[in-house]
Amino acid sequence: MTDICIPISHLDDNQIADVTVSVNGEKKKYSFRVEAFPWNNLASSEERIMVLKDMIERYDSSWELIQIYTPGTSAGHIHVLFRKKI
Amino acid sequence: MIRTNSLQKVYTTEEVETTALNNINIEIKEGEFVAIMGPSGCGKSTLLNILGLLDNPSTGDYYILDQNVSRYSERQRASLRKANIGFVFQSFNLIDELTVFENIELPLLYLGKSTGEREKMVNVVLERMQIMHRRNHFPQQLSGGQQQRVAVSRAVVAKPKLILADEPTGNLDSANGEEVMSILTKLNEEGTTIVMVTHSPHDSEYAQRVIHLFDGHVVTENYKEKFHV
Repeated sequence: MTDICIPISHLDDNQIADVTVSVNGEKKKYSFRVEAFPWNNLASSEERIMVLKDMIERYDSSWELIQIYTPGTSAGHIHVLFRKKI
Repeated sequence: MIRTNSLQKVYTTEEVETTALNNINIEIKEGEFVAIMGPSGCGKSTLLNILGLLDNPSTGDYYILDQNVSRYSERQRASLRKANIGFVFQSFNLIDELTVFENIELPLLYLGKSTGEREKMVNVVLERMQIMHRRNHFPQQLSGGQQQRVAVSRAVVAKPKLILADEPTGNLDSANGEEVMSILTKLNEEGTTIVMVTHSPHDSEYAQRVIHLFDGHVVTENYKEKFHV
């Protein structure tokens, strides 16, 4: 198994979760960010995807995209998980 | 090995038209391990069905092994599919009435292999997947992990160039899921191209490249940093 789930409560905006894992004494540090990008529910699917694509493409290149979450039906934002490249 | 050009899939009923895939342009090279990732309903399985020649696109072109197969008939698609593609599904899709041996033997029957050849090829895979002792059991007598190992065996027995896996660990616990991912990784290291649909960030870590789909569009694709330890 290579998953370690760490529930992090009350993480405010613009905060980074740093995780340090020790494997056989060797320390590895991972940093994760969940970003909230604007999501216009009234726009067409193409328009929304264009905005999302643009946001991800222009994002800090030292972070890699891990997952795009599904926004709620009336959500104004879409959440996207990034991990800092090692 | 695989290339799509402005691929689109539209499902039409009397009342509504749903675009499942929109303007998909992807290229997958021989020997790659690619994950297609995205939430439920984003078009992942529709794309995999088209890549696996189980379905045709509505518009656009699909090239596999240098052939434009977009307008192939079911017969042409089946012929190309059975010679080149192996499938692994989330729900295993084994035939309950057939034994482990007979399930794995099926693709070889479709390819017209002789009894002797079939026996030899199935036994090689049974040994390799460490399920020889289960050869005469029926799927219902096996655990989920063992059933998926049988399904992977069936996918690889005819030595396909391409394996398409649709949420292969979706019905497995983490230990068995890990085992299936290790088997897919090994097959890829031996040269088999693997395209895997998943919504799991963990499983996507095994791939060299991840294509992110959302609402039927490719949002982005990125080469992975090796993460799992």
